[in-house]
Amino acid sequence: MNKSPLNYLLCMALGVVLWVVTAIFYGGAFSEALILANTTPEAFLGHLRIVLGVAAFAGVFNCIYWFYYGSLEEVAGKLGEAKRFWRVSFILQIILSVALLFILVLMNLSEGVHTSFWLIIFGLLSLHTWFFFWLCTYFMSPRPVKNIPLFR
Amino acid sequence: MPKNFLVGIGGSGAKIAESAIFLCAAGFSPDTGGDQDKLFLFLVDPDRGNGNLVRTTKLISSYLECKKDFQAHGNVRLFHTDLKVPDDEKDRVWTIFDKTDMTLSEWIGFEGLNKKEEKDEQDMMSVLFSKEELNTPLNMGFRGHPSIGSVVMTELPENNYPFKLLWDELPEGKPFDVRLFLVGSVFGGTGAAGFPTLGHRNTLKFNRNKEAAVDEKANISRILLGGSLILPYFKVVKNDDRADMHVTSSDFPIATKAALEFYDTKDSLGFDQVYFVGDSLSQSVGEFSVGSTSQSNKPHYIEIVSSLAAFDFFSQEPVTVEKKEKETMYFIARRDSNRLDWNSLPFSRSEEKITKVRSDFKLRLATMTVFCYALVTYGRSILNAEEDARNKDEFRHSWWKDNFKFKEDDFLNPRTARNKEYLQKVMRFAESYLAWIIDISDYDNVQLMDKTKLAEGGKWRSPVNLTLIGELLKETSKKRGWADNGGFLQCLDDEEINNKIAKDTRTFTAANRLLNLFYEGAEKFARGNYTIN
Repeated sequence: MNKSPLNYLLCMALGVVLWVVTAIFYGGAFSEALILANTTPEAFLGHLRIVLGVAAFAGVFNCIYWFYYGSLEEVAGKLGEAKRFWRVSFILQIILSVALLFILVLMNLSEGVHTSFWLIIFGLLSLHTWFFFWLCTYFMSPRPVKNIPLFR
Repeated sequence: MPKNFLVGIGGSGAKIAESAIFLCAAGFSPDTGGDQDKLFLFLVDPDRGNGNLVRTTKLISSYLECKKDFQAHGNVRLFHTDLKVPDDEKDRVWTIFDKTDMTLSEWIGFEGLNKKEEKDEQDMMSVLFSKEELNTPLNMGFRGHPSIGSVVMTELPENNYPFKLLWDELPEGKPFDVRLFLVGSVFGGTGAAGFPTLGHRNTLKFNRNKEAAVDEKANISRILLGGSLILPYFKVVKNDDRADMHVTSSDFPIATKAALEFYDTKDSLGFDQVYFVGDSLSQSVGEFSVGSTSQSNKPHYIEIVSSLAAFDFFSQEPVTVEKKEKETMYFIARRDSNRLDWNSLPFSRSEEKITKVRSDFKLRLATMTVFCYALVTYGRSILNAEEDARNKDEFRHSWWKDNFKFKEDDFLNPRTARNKEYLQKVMRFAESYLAWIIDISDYDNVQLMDKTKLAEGGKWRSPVNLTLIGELLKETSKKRGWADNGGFLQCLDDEEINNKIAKDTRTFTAANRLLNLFYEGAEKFARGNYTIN
């Protein structure tokens, strides 16, 4: 699972499947359950899909770059740097998930969405960003850096 | 399966034994067709303080200590040969004299030969030996006077070690089943005296007390006797503060000529096969010394050649009564210039085997050098890292995580006290190997290893730089560094190797697992980086 190109392909496939599941299937049902003040559930769903798409792209892109970075020949001798790289990537993913949530909140500030729904959305964004990054790198990192991700 | 005995006589003999032990440690050993190669070994030297001898006896003990607890995985050839020596360290060397400062005069009871009927014998001794020869203490060897040695070495302590080692293996032997190989220099004292004395038909080969002969008239013994006569190959730097009775480098050619003429005319020698090994480059191996601790000369590649000769002798096809003396074979090598490289060494008497043996020799030495280099640097840093180091980068490598844990368990953690103690022993051996191989390479014409890449200033103190691990051999290599693609770290992390080791070595201690891992990584690296074939 950590061999190239299998890890690249699996990561992309997982990102797409996760987006389909969260943005299409779950997102549809989720937006129907919302009570919105001004806009339609379809318009909110459109925003949600775009934001989840950005999160999924960022998560997949970061993983792919980590896989590429981890297989660079000089990395085996510089695991300290690799560890820093992974941590920075992981924190950036968390920041991104929060930033995307804020964007969605700002776009729908007047809709009166209940806080619990925003928490669910944050969960979905987290699933695509930092959790996705941790999960993929935990199981699919190239051998030289496979022990770098958290809890390895 | 034939039993192989190597007997090192004198200072050069000890140095050849030293090189044979290092080759065995590297996994290059006489191929006798069995699962476990065995080599019986003992030394002969009256100078028990001789620096070369002391170095070799220490090395034997070190090898045995490392070998005793080593568990080899798969094709790992580290410490492959089962070195058989007498259990007691004192018994591994025949020192000839029981007491120190013995003189020839005391040995033959010269002063006691004063009765009328013994006067002739005393006069005879006075003719054969000068006063100086009769009265010089022999605790520093025979000082380049083999005539003294040949007198005192005729009385063999047959029933005692180290010779008991030989006789104990003889009873079940078939004709030529024990292969006995003598090595010593022809131009010095002890070697020149011991070679023809121990090589005499009646001394060992057809020893009557031990019934070594099968059919003496037909020249068939249970012992196949071989020997390597070391012709002058070095010179020593003159030291003005020297003892009276001694030889210098300028005496070597005359001594050699006389010895060879003597051997040529002697029918009483029992050798079945003889190798002549020498070198015209005549490089300096250090300062002159009469003997004792100061006689510790730098290793020389000719000692490797002599070991190769011994291994060629041991690896020959079984000798039968019918086959004996049917074919003359030559163990030779040539070079086009003064430059000695990997292709200039002789490897086998059999033409078909030369390429295979040469590749194996080069692979084993390259692997051992990389292994030792990595072990005493990177391995040591792992071993000595602080106890709270589990989050350090070294311990995030797959080779560590796949095989080891931070638990106080000898099977999981190579850093436990017991494992550390054993690994320290192997590291000390590895350092002595590196010092030896660096010294072998410390001659301008010898193009085997690059001493400048192995150690700072070409002397073993500390390694130069781990990134130079791909340039240790003096030849064109891929120059893969420590962490490069195909570099040592990648080989150590190799998934296939780690999976196999993790699966197969559950009963191994963690120290052994670590050694096997480093050795397999070193071999993969050597194969990928250096031109082995």
